[in-house]
Amino acid sequence: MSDIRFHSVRKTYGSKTVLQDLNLHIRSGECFVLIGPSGCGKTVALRLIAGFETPDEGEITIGERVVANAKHALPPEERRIGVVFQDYAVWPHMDVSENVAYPLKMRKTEKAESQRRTADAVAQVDLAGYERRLPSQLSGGQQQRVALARALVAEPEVMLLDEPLTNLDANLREEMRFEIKDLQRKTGSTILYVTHDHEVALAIADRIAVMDPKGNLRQIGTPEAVYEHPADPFVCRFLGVSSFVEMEKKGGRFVIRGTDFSVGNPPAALADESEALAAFRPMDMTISRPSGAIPEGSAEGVVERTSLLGPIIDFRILIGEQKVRCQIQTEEAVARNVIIEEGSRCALSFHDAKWFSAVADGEEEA
Amino acid sequence: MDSPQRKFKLGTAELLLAFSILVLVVIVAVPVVLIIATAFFENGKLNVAAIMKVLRDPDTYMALWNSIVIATGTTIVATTIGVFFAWLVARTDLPFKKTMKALFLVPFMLPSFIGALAWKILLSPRAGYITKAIMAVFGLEKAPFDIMSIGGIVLIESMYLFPFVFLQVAAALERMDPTLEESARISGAGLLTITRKITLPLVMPSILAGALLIALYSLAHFGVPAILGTEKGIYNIPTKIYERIYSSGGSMAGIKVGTVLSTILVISAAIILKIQDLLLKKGQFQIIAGKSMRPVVLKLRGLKVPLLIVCIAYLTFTVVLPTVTIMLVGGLKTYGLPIAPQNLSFNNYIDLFKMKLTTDSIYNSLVLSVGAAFVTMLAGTMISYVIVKMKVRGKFMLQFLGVLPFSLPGTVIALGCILTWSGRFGVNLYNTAWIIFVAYIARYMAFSIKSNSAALEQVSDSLEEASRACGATHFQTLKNIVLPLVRPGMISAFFLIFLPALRELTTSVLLYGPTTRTIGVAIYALNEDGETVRAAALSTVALVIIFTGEIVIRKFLARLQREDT
Repeated sequence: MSDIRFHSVRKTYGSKTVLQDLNLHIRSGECFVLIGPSGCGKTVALRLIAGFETPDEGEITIGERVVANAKHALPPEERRIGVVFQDYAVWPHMDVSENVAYPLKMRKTEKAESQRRTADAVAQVDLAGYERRLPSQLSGGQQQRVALARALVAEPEVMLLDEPLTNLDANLREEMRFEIKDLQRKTGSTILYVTHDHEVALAIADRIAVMDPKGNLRQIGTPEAVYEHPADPFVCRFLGVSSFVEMEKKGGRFVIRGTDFSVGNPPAALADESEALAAFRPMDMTISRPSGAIPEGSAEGVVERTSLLGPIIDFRILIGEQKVRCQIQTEEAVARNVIIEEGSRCALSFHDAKWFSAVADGEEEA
Repeated sequence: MDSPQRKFKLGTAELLLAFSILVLVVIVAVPVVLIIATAFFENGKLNVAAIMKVLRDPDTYMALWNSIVIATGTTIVATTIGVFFAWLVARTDLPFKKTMKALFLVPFMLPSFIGALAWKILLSPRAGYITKAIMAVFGLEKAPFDIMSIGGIVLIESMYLFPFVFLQVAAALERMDPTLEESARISGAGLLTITRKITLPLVMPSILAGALLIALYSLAHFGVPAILGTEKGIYNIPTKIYERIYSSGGSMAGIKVGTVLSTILVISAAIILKIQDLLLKKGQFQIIAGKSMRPVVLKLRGLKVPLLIVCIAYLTFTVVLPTVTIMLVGGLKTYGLPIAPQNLSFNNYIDLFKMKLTTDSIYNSLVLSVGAAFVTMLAGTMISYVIVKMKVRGKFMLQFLGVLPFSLPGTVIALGCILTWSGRFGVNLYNTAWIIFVAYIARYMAFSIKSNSAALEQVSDSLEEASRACGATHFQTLKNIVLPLVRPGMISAFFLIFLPALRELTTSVLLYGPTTRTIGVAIYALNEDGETVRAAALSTVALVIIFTGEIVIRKFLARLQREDT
């Protein structure tokens, strides 16, 4: 068993409180992603598990072991963890093999065994043939793979990854995130992955926790759950581009403020409110050229900006006084002739909306 | 659930901190505190009257005044020379710029007291070779000028100190973002306006920082004033301290005057360094451009060759002429004979290796500089590590102690060592080589901390954390990761200490005993005794060792750098 628990953990630097009262349970064997804006304290949480920082209050456990509380802390070397850093932290004076074999050497693994496991780990990250290279002779992606192999080689119960893909270019980033997921399936270790990149988070997580700038956890759940049912506007906005539209009640139903356009019905909990907030992802609506009357669940607006982003086209549309972003596949746009010129009118039909209370907190902090 | 085992253990971190503080306290802080205490207190009571008495004594007052005049004069002259040559090398199309840039650093290698000795031989009013020649040619009765004066001291110090400014300013001019000047040019400004309104203000912090370094060095400089001034009764603070301590036979009265003057030196040094630090921070902020770019270069046209000749003439005059003079005089049978083949022999050089005074001095200097460089390198690495890398309580103390060595002139350190290591604490090192050894450690600790800190700042924290996460203890991490990565910084610290320690005079002249003369002290003593030819011969040997050392080390460091990349 190697689940990780935070019990009421508090961490301050001087007068700045980074984590106020963090309670978190990372289950054994899952890939857990902690996501939040930069400076929110997510890296501090990871460093607390690794033992690079110590908590001011509260307790952290890995499996059955209390690794840190306010009075005691196990040093990092006794925690049996693997860490992958954003800047790779591959030792420049050691070649690939030496880097990867280091944890085994520190654990005094027998030589033949160590060689075999090093070779395995190197092969696992696709670096066979590069054993004698120095880090300066490797690309960024290769260096990050060395770091990954080094973290894996001792088969730690817990792997901590701190923005490991941020310094890689877009293609490599995409490739590497699948590799990390694969490796996790093979090794079955508990992974804590810290990032601010929602695409990576959604792609690899078994569960995601969203942290706000004050270090509070806003929502924990599967990627599907947090993406489809965000607990509040902050979570919604953080997990992808979202347009927030203020809704008001008019004649017993909700319409976009200042218009007569309805976009569907809110959940029962909000039915009695007089105001609400609706959030749309850019693909939650279909754009078309206006023709005749506007049907229920649709709205009419003016296209303010049309940008071709390659495979998709992005529109900024003004409805009443509110802006929404709408995206459509370029191919489809061409087929349906809906590459609408800037300044022209358009119709939008909404097929999905996330509803929030109008006084939902945290929205302004996103 | 089991709970973490260790509550408080005396770990590697605590040991490093404790040991670092111990080293700095014993080697640096105690001597300084004793100097200030001796200056201000008498029989356990604050005694301002005694300080005022020392300061009002015309003898010490004149030394203070001379120090200020010499430092000011040297700073102005050397800064002018340094800025001019830096501009020539960085901003004009002077031929052989790269070579010239390297050559302008050679005056740094020539110990200034050997330079002073050479110039005394050439220009002294009675016996100087050049003076005599001029008097003969123009039929003069009296020497037209006197090198053994305040003006002479300023001139000779400037000759050998200008590289401080040259280095700073040339680097700033090369780093300066040329778009700053280009945009001024586009706005219609002429080259003179640009230089005056843009370039000069931008490099001014570097100029001032270099100038302050010269002021600091000159204020606390012993060699040149000792060789050119003492004979004529011209003293500055370090030579006055030396004179007082020796004329009083090491009595308390002499030491008392020394401590008062030392306190003044320490305070001036601290102020100068603080200003320099502020200036450099400001300067770097303004002008560093990330990429290396080609600066606007002034076309010298017709002045190209004449200015190159000026540069070469300057170097010939300040480096080649004194070196050759020293070598030839070192071969003379008796001082004063004309330099002619029939008067020259190798006998002096052979004698050097027969005389105990000189062989001892060469041996002492080599052993002391290697030993001090090695120990200071190790201690500096440890202290820098704690300052740069560690998060421990009590570090602020170390940060304070760590900057202290930077503001301690050699004379002050020597005096502090006399006060500390003459039996007061049960250890008497006086008259042994050990007292010079501890003094060198204190004197060069700043170099080691600077070089090692720079190397450590390049080592990202995550490299250490990765090692800990891999199961290595703090100690193993230091051994396997940190030490190999800072090795280049350590090696350069070693040589930064070894080379100047080899030719050290200021500190060792106050600390030497009958058998513990260093090369610098031996040259100085021979010169004092009127053994000019032997002093010159020993100087030649010193120069050979220094130049060979510089060249070998430069080659070695260059190879090391190539291997690293």
